[in-house]
Amino acid sequence: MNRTQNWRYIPLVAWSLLVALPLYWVLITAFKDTTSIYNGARWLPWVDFHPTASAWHDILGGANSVYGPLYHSLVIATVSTLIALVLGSMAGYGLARYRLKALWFKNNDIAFWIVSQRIMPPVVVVLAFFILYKNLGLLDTIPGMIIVYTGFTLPLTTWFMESYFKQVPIDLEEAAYIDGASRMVVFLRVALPLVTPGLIATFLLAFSFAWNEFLFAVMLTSENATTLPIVIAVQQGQLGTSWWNICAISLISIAPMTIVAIVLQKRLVTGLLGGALK
Amino acid sequence: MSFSNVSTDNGLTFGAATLDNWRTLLNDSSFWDSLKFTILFVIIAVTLEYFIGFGLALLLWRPIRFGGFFRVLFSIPMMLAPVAIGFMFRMIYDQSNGPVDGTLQRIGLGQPPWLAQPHWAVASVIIMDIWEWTPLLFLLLLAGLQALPEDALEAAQLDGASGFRVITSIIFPILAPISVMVVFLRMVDAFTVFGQIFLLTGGGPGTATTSTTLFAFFQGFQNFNVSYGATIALALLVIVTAIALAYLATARFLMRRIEA
Repeated sequence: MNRTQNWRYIPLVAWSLLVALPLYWVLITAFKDTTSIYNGARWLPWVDFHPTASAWHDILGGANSVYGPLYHSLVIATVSTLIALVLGSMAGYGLARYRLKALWFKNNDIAFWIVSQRIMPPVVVVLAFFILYKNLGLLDTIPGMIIVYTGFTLPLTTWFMESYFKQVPIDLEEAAYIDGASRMVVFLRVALPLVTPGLIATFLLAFSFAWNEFLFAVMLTSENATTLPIVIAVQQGQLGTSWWNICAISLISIAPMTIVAIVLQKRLVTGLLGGALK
Repeated sequence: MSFSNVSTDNGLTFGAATLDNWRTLLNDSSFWDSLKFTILFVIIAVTLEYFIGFGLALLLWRPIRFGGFFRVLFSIPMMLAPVAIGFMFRMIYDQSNGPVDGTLQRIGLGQPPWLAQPHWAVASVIIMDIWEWTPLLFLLLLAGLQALPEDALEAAQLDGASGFRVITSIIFPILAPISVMVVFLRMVDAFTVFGQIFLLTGGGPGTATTSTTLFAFFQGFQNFNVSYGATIALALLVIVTAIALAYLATARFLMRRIEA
């Protein structure tokens, strides 16, 4: 393609503006106060309104400090994603490399059975979890939330990892077996390093699920294990909605994901590929 | 749970097993309304997301200056918390203080009553979903495009096929399996939409944007009719499974036709 295709920038820039407008609005609203929010649309800081950092003072040390929920979110999302990734890549490897048969269930049936969990709307089980957790004393605990999120991301990680492992040429592994390596060594030293991009992509998807999940968090936590999405939601309180706090917390919550996406964007694109090829 | 009558008065006790909940459900017009909205929402949103995502992927597929920048920017929305997106769009749609209506009025297009009027509210919810999830389809289709066999494309170009012909007769068929999978994932997820709508419209005005998940939530946790909520949720599961299986079967059938 050596023809110049500058027209391509027209739709690209148009979509960029559509994507960026809400994000820009969140960014400036995080620096607004009551007067600059409620008197018509104000676009430009210093020109249309006076930026203030009061929201940031409030959530980073004031009455509405977000450190607690931020910590819960980090622990819950990281731990549950790591567990799901470890179990998921082992299960995925097993499905990709061994011929399994349980009654009339073969590999593909098992894989579909696992991914069919994604078909289930979470609201189906949230009530059951609520009753179960109430009886087990797991309501509003960090381990409780880790268990739920691990359960929910595991099908995804298993399914994605299986398709990544399937792409790895088996010759490499066979060569390692001939050299006398055990199964565990082949898995850890040969297969796993080859699917690193896939591992990263899967990690991101699973992490962003656990990081952003709302329904389970709102049902199963109240104080000791609240996550960031819940804090965003409760800013709409009896005293009116604190839009500036909502925006500031939203910015805090996308910051890590965006940084990771920038760093990994090239790998993410190649990494997601395998999962899509299933 | 759906077959009994769970009471919340005295801890949680299960009543005798009955079919009462299911009978109520089948005659509950609000349930059918919520289902109608959900299905409409899924069809429109997923279709538009697919075509926009596909178009964007085609634009960014060949090396282009600032391509990396566009890729990152385009993928940010899907990493945002649904809750944050709900609030965000409430600000955007705000009639007096939001950025959209003021601008539209200045260029003489009037003020759409985004969230106040049922039809507009449905449109608002769909626009929000497109904003949030087009990135997923964009990324996965872009990844698929990058795996296209170069020789097939070069051959077509040597034969003098136009750009449009190349897309419809070469790129599209090769991407079909990926498209089926991606649309499947997205469709199934769209059926369970909750957080965004909950915060954007709360299911209103009236019940115009009450998705079935929202309906189950309202019944189960705000009216404290836990077993009825469970019944709705289970009915949704059955319906989504049926639709998903029907979709996969149709897709497989069509793909076999293409290959043949």
